[in-house]
Amino acid sequence: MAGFFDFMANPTRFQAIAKPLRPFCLALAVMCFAYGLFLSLFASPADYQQGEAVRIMYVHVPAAWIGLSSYLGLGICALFYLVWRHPLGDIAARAIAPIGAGFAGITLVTGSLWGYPIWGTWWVWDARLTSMLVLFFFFIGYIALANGFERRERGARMAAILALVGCVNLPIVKFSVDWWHTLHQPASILRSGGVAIDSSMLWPLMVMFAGFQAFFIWIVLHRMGWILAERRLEARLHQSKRAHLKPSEEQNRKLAP
Amino acid sequence: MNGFFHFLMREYRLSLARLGDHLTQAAFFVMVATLFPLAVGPSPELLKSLGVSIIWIAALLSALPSFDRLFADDYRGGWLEQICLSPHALHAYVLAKIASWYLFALLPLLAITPLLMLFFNLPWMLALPLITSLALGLAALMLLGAIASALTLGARRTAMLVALLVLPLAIPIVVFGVMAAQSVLQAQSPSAHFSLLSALVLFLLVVSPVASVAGLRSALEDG
Repeated sequence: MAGFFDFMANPTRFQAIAKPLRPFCLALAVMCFAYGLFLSLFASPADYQQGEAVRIMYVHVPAAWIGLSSYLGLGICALFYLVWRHPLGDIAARAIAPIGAGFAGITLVTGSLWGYPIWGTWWVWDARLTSMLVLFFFFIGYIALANGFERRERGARMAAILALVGCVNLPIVKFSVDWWHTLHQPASILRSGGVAIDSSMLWPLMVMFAGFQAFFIWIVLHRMGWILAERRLEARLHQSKRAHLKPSEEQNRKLAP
Repeated sequence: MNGFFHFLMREYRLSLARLGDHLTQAAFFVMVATLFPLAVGPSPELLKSLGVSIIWIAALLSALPSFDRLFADDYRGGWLEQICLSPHALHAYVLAKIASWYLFALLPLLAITPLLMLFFNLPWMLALPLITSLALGLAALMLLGAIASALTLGARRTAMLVALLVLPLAIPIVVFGVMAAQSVLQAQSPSAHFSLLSALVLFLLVVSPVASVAGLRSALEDG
């Protein structure tokens, strides 16, 4: 396991594997979205209580899953960066953070749109809604801290520690529904006692989830590629600047604070 | 552990010099609490029902701005590096810093709380539970603040960053703290909320020094 990560820690090797993976992920995402949207908008039944509004679920629930799991991903990347000092851990975490914030935001917005016709209110201070909002704040905090330093490595390490501390929040989000059961419905897929949702709704949900997951992997790999290219560019610029300096200037640069 | 008491004495002497700052913080606490009646109107019933929450939020807001200075002076002055070189453990330093900051900067806020209870027509039998909940809550907040302060050492806008990092983590503290005091007001047993609040303090007491020391070490490595 550790050997695999050591192998992947080399950016060139990582890119060699990640680059050909990207079009597959994109194609999978597009196919799943097309099929999943058809299923969820036309081929699945309306709910007997909620009517057509239940179709928001096919976006809301996968987005929430991705939002939560991307925070877990952020924590794992942070751990790899802190313990083994793999620079790719930091790059992956930086690539994930805005995407995770985006999915948490989508969850909040679609949840609010779903809540208005069903609960009669855009927002309630329910445990689950609040903890999703907190997750969103965590992503914002991570991004702010990671970019808050003059030196990038410094921000990377500090933000990684923060991400690990924040991981405490994840189980609270997941189990809050069962702990402080209020307005939000309890978990109906991953729960003890089996799935409590009809297969005619479960199947489109799963297809949409696969589409969201593929899209997430595609965009994260893409962003990692961008960040890697950016760093290579920075290093090149730095090198060429050094090469053009005269020896005396080089001396001055070293003396300057 | 003798390093701990050594550091504690040092912090005590330093905080005597910093007394003005701590008093300003206490004055800010009163001012924030004063703004609420002006904003929501002077109705005694409304203020009584909101009182506990307002005092809690005011305490939180007045504690926050001081956290970014917790380690900053020692970091800039080179004291942190000296500790790393000395046989004293960095953990003892962090714990002493947290304990002294809590004693000298945050406990004065508790002393003013009875005055604020007058502002909001809160009954005197609430004094003990409210002050206990604030004492526990501010201890938890202090431990979170130490993490945020260590992580933001040398960052650009530290005060904003510290607030951004601490506030989301502080949500359970506020929830359980306010519920503990509020349940006394509603003649219910507050023991469950106090237990949860104490559990949070104990949990953070384990996590906070580890994370803070990791933050300080990494700040020192980069110089």
